[in-house]
Amino acid sequence: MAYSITYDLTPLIEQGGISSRGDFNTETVVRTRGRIAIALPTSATITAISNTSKPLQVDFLGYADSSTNAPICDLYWYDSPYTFDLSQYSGIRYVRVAIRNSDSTNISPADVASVTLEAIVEDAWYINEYGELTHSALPELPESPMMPPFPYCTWRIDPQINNGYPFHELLPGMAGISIDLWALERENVIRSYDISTPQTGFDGNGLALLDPVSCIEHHGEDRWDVELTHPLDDWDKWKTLLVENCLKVDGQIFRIDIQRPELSESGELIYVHARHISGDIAGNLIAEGHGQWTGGTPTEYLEYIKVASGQYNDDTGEGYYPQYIFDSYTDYTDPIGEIDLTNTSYWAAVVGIDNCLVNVTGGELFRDNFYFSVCRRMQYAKDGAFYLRYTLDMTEIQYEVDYTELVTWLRVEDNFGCYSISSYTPSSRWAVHHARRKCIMMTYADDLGWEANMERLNRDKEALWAQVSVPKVTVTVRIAALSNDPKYKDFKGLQDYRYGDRGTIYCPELDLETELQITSVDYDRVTGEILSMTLGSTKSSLIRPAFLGSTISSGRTQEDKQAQATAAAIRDMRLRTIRSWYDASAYTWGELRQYTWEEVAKYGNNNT
Amino acid sequence: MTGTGTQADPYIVDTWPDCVAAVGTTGAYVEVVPETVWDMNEIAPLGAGTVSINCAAINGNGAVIKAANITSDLLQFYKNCTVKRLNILDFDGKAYVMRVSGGATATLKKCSVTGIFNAVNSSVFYSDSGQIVFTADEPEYPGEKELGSMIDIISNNGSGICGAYYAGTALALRYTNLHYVGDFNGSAYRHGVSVSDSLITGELNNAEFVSIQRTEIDASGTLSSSSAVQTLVNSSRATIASGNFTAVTPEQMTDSAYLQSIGFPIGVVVNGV
Repeated sequence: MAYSITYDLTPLIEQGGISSRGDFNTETVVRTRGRIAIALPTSATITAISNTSKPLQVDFLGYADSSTNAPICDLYWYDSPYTFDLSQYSGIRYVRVAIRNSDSTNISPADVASVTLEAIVEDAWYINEYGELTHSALPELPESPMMPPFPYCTWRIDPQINNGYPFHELLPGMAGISIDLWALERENVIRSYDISTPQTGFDGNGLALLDPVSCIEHHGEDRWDVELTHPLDDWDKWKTLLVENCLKVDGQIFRIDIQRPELSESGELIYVHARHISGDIAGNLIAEGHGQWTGGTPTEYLEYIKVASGQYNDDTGEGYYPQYIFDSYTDYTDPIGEIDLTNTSYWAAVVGIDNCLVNVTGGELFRDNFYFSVCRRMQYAKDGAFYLRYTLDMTEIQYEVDYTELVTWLRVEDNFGCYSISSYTPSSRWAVHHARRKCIMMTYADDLGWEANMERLNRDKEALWAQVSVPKVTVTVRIAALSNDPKYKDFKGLQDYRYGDRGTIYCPELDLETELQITSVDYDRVTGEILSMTLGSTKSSLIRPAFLGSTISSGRTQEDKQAQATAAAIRDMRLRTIRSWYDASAYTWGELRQYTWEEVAKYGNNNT
Repeated sequence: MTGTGTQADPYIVDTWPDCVAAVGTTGAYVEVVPETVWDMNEIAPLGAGTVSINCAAINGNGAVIKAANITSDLLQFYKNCTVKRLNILDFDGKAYVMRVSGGATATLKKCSVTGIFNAVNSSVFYSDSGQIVFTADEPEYPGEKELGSMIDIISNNGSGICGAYYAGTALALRYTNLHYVGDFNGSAYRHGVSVSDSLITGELNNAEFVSIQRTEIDASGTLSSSSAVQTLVNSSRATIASGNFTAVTPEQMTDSAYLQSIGFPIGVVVNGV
């Protein structure tokens, strides 16, 4: 690329000529004063304009430096304007210009109206495409004065070496070779924190770094907790294991709810049980007068139950129990209808009650300390997270196919007379030996009108159908501890499987190769190993909590009979009110379609 | 090592011991095998040692001296020497990176020096007598760009960029992209830095130049020079203590017409030339 630089030489014009021995006095030539620094021009155009009517001629002189009199080139006399081809002259870094009248008569600086020099150069200062002043000869700077790999002689910090403290490659035992990277990767310490720890205070080491005898973490669909056994040590770490204090295990916070020190023949130990910190919000009750959710988006629902249950910061603190504030998220957008949440806890409104968010949306729950989400696919869960092979990754595998709850035809009724049916015909004659028909009674508290009742019933039926229309397939595996195998030492995170991850189980002995999702996992948090995992074939059968436990019944309990009697009485009462066609006009078609003509005729005025 | 060390038949080196031996030969011409990288972590992790340079020319062909632990002066020039295309990258300096003695001039063309300087009250470059010059190289093929040199250094412990036993220009920067963080002058040494057609960025603290011209300074610090010509200073970052620097705002610094109006030789891209 070439650059054009224009110089105005007019102010530099003085009387005199230029030779290879230097300046000399003359009345017939004017020249530029001093030398103009122009690096390596390839051409130069000099334009001199006279104040008189005489045409001007120009002389170009190129120099290698600022002091030597002998020029590299002295190109004279050419009629102005003139473009000098300088490509054959290398090393020109300074230039001068001389000017005369074409008839060589006397000339003075006043006779020259203007002189400009336009040089074409290979390198120059210019404004680049980003609008920055730069020079074409300058190389780019690196991102940093030092780039890895650094000199061994420098102290430096790497989170994965020497527990994050400064280390030095030349000092023995500090270069990472004696550090268990596997352990560091999964944050290999278990800490205890005081009951009064603020929400932002869990980054430090807390009260103690524990040395437990065992620490088993269970993460499943219905519970997430740890059971920790710690010796009654001389450093009194065990005294930090008080009920309501917290543990931090693998980055997750658990609140101790059971403490059991014991002295026995087997030793002096303390056992504690702690549940995940998200269990805190099970105590946030949506009290009467605050529980009427009138409909809206799932995001609005989450915000509603948060506020209604008192999940907000109270800066005064006086007279109130402290609490941690939880954030939530959902990627569902379809509106949720009216729900009575009175006397329901914040947590139950998310995962507990029949029409909780998880059940209504069919989403998967993700928890991370003070955050939870309900999404179509569990947040941060990985697909294709593992490919487990028996004899290599697994030491045990148990494969269970359960047809006990399989249904091929399902009828669901509610206590307001609505019903809905789902069924399927197997594509293969012997996939299921015989039809399995089932009728389920749903008992709801409130009558929403026929259409809303049907919508509610259909929603619950579809969810239930998804659950019972396929056999329940579960696989329980015991994972081989590959981290102890030197062959796999370079594979960090090789078995970092988490609840909700999906992957493939391969076991040719059982003729099994299928993609499954982890529905519960037990970790040994002392060694970092996975003790066992349970995996399911479908989301609905495994990830979702026990569904509609308080609503579904066989229809044969005393409560069912009482509800059915009440519903029948209401039905009968309504029927009695329809004594004429005129009476019937007060009802919608949906409300009347449950009655037969014979029933209406039984109480009706047949004269009408 | 092959060759006889003459200009027509230079020493061709690729190993570090061969290179040290070749450049120590008075008047020799030395050429490094292209794309050579000397990883000093492997060669001399405890200290790279001092390389005495008596040769006339070194063509590094882009060679890299990487991760040097500089515990004694790294490159010691005793004779006039032109060094082309040699890179000293990512050093940890506790002694001079380059030192010139005996009135010699070490001319470094299209070379680069990056690293962190940790010596106390010292300087990155030093002249007992002579000059170290960073400048551009001639193109090796038509249209080759970025022929200048590059220096990127963080200096700790009060050390400056250049020290000198005698007054005068000990370090000359031409066509050099200099990024420097630290005490530019240093505290315990004379310093003599001349600059032309260069870009200076970073945090200079105090910076005194013997002369400076056609240069852009976009760095923090207090500047002074008795001979400053056509040197633009970002006025929002630097303070001019003395000298004929041209203070410009960041907006003016990017205004081609404005720069031309104040006499700064700003080029315009010529298409098709």
